[in-house]
Amino acid sequence: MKSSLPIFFAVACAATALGDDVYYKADGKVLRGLTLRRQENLVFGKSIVPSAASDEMQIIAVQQIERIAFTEPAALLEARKAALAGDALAALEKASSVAQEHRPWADIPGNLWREAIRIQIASMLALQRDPELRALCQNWIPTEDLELEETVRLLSLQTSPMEKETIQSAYQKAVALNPGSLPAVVSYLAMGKSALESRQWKAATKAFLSVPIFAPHWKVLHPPALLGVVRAFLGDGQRPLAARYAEDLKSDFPHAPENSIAETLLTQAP
Amino acid sequence: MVLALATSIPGMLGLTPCIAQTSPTSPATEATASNAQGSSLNELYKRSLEHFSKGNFAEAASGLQEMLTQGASGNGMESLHFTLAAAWFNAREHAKALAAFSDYVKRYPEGARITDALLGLAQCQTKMGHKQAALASFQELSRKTTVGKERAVWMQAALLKDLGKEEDALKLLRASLPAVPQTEDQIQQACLLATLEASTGKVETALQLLHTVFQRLPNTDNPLQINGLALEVGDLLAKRKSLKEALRAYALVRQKDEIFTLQRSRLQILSRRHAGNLDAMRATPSRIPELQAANEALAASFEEGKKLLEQLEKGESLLRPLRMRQARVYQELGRFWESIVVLENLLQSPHPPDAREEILYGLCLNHAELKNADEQETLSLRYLKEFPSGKNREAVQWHLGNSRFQRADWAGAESVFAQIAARQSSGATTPITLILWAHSRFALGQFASAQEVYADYLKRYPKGEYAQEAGYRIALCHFFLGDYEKAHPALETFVKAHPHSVFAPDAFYRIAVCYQAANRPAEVVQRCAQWEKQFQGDALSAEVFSLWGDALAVMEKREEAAAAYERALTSAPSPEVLQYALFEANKQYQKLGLWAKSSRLLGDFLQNHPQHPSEVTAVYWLAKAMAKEGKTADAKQFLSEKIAASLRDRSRDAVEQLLSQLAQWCAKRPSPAAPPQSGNDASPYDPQEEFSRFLPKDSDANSPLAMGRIFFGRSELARYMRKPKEAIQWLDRIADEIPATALGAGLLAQVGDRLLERGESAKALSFYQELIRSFPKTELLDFAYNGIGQLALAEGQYAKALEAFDDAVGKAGATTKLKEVTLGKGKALLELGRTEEAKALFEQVGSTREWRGEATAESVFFLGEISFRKGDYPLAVQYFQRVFVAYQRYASLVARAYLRTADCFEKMGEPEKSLAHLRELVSREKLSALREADLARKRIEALQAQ
Repeated sequence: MKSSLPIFFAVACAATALGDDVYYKADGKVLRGLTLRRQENLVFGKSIVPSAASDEMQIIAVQQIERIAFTEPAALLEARKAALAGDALAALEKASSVAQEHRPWADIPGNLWREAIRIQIASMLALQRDPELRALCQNWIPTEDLELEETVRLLSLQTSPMEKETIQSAYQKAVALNPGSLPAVVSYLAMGKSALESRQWKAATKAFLSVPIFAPHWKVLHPPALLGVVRAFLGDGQRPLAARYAEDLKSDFPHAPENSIAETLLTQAP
Repeated sequence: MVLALATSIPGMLGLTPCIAQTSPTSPATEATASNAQGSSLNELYKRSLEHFSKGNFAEAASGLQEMLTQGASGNGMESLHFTLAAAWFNAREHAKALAAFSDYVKRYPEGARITDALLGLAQCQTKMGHKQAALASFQELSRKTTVGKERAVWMQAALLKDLGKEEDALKLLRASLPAVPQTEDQIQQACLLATLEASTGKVETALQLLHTVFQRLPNTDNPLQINGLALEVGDLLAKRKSLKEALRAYALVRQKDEIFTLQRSRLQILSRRHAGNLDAMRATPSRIPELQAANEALAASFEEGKKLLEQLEKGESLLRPLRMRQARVYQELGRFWESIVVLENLLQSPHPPDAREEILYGLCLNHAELKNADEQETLSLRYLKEFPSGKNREAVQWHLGNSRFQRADWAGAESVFAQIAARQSSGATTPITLILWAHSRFALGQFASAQEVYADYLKRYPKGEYAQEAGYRIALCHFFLGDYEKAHPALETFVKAHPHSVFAPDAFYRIAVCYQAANRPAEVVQRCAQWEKQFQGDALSAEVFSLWGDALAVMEKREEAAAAYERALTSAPSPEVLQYALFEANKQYQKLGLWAKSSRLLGDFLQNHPQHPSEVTAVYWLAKAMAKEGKTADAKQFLSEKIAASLRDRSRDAVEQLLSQLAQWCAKRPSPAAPPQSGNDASPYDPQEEFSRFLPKDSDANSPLAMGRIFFGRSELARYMRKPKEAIQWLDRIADEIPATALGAGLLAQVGDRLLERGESAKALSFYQELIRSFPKTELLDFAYNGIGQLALAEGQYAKALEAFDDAVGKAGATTKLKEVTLGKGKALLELGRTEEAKALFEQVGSTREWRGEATAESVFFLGEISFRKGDYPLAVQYFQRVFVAYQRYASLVARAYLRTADCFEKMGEPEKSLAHLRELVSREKLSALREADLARKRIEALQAQ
């Protein structure tokens, strides 16, 4: 989060052709079938539907736009589907393209970027793509989406030199605020990881279990959370419980790579 | 909620129809009566509408009714009739409303509001309990019209559900509902259908519908209702034990903030639409009537939405009911950890006290299921502190007691069960509470009080589940109280009454033990033989054979006894019985001089139990047996190998015993195999060299522990060679060169005591502490507690000393150091002013024959000290004189006794006698160099000066 400039300054001259979107203006006008292009705080639109009123290029200030109902791209639908199946790799691939394409519209109500970037972050987290997450946090341009801002702040904390207690307290605040939100899920995973490192097995169990309990919709993050539960139970010498959660992982996410890790851990456990 | 004149509002009990009225024209304006009458009717109409819009429905209805009475007529009559019916409906005058709606339907079968009128009519019928008639009305309505059909279907289905015709309702809704519900009525249909599908077990369909409805959440009139639907469907699924699916339904419930935001944005949309319509009216005046009506509808919706928002703001969040449900379902699924996570989340969010009670209770139960004893203990105590009269108090206490019982915290369990029993007169858990309470007392060794509780159980539940066990335990209590006279008949009665009970083998065995206690070995032998016949292969076999061996040993049938012990060894004995039987069998063979059998016995044991804790002891006895067989050289070699194998293992502290035995053999010149040819065997014999020959090589003995053990061996060798100073020097080398953390239990104990002798308190303390820390189960712990007690005593910390001496007995059993501990405790008590207790202990030491010697002398001295402190000087003199007369070997004690005698005579006013005793002290050669003699000299000078 290096810049505090509003997004439309930062994405100067971004050009995007989006097609069959519905474009609602603050004055109540509704325009359909525009191809849109964003240049700083101006939006350029030209209708692809022949009509006397809209076949000319229109230039609209961003402030005049109430909402754009973007057509959902197939990639976003696929990303959503992959995320629900716990297939973080596919979700990341699909969501990244949508996020990139829709980045210029991030400040406009109705944008698809917010959903796409969430899936992208969650998938990176699931795949433990720490360098990419670090890069994403470092290059982050602030938005008005409080939840996303909090997510990025919490992710940045993971590599910050702050006191461990301060970081833990930030996680706990996020969890208390909304236990099902993405910042909360980021916190559960980080708290679980930290508890595992300090061999606090029960605390780790609770943190990891919070993901499927309170954020059932963040399925893409369930496999790493369940693997964390398996590790915590094994650390605590509770092999039968570890096996039970490994079984859950296998039945709910049969193609998740975490399955083979869980299996190996169980084989090696006494 | 009311029927509005010009808007559509979701209605009362979900059954309110949409009733609209276009801008009404006063019927009076076109009346044929006089102008005055027309004007009056016009006024009346206006007033009525005003009442209606203010919510004064009864007044509105009365006014409209009055208009009809006065003969109002004209084009607006249809509107008047409809508004009258709506006013009666909203005034909850359902009979009048029914009549008015019927009148409208009859008069205007093709009227503009016919659908609304029919809906109103059916609703009145429903409200009045005319459900069959209502059903017919709804059916007719859905056949007749398309406009209000969706609402009619929904209401009809709801009515069918009320009438218990769920299948009919399902059919109706399934046929009517589109794949994606769009309108509010369709959403209501979907909600109803979801609950019906859930309650009839169509789990997936219900969940699918729920998801569909939730997708419409941002656009629905009542997001609160939809949010609540997820709980309702979840509950229905949970009731049908579709637990995982119930959790999926609960997962849809949105947080209060989220619903609040949705509702607020919906209000913003309504407000924007309203403003848009106003703009449009200004731009296009021809659309005013149409847009005005629409805006009235929007305004009403806005008001309703605002009310909902206020309701939401004031109302309780669904979070608590949701979390409690989730926790319960997880618990039912056996997912106790998940249940804990949910409850802890709830505990961290704001909640009322009654919820807290439930939460803490739930957490206690989950931790109990998971056997998380520490967490359960903490939470249970927290619950009991916060809710001393909580409704789940008894259950929490019971689980707490049970948890303590399971982890053998008998005292903790006993106190909890005692509390429950004191409060609980009779309940479902009373029998088990009584039994666990009694068992706790039994385990604590409180046999008499355990007996009372068992007896109470039997009195209250003579045929209860645990009656047999209670009866048996009563007999066992007698047994463990050592009251064999009562135990024996009680056990006999029990085995007679329950010959096939699971307790019968134990009871038979205990009867034999009673005979053994009564010194009737023949009966023991007979009973053991009978036991073997009846319970062959039972888990108690080893104990029985051991007892059999004991009885035969008493009868001096040593070979048979050894055989019995050997049978015990092959009957899967416990480690304790194995050790006991092995060494008892060995003892019999030794007494019989059957060294070969002893060797075979111990050899077999070592082969079969190579890692047994008694391995080194067995090696010791085997080596001794070999030596007795005349194979001393082999025995030395054997010991040497075993010493080398265990030398660096800190846990094998019996290795010192082997070193001591080896040293003993090496100290003496070995007997020649054949007598020497010439008179004297002139070959030199060096015990040191011989000992070194059998010690491990330097490379194997380079660890601090190994070195320490070898120093110990050399100390033992010096002792056997009667070189006590050298023996002590070797022990000192251990103390000075080897860190405490490297030594085994035996050396820590011995070297600790040596340091105590040397007066190195701090270092001695560190050795004792290391012994307690690293060897908490060693039999030598009493060295540590005694040493700590002696150190405290020397420092004048008498309470601390007393505690350590108590620990030496209570925690360590004080097997080796009982004499020192008893004496030490007596001294501590004396200094703490508890003279009577101290006296009893000194008398005990003085009268124990086995402790005769310095301890006896000391105890006599301290008995004198007690008398001195009490002011009984003549008695004190008697004790002190006994010391210097009977125990002259103990110079320091004798000197102190002389001094104290002198004190006594001084106190009695007999300075000559005092002086005489002091002179005797200084005159005795053995005492003259002591510190006490110096003191005596000074006092002589003082007395002479006087």
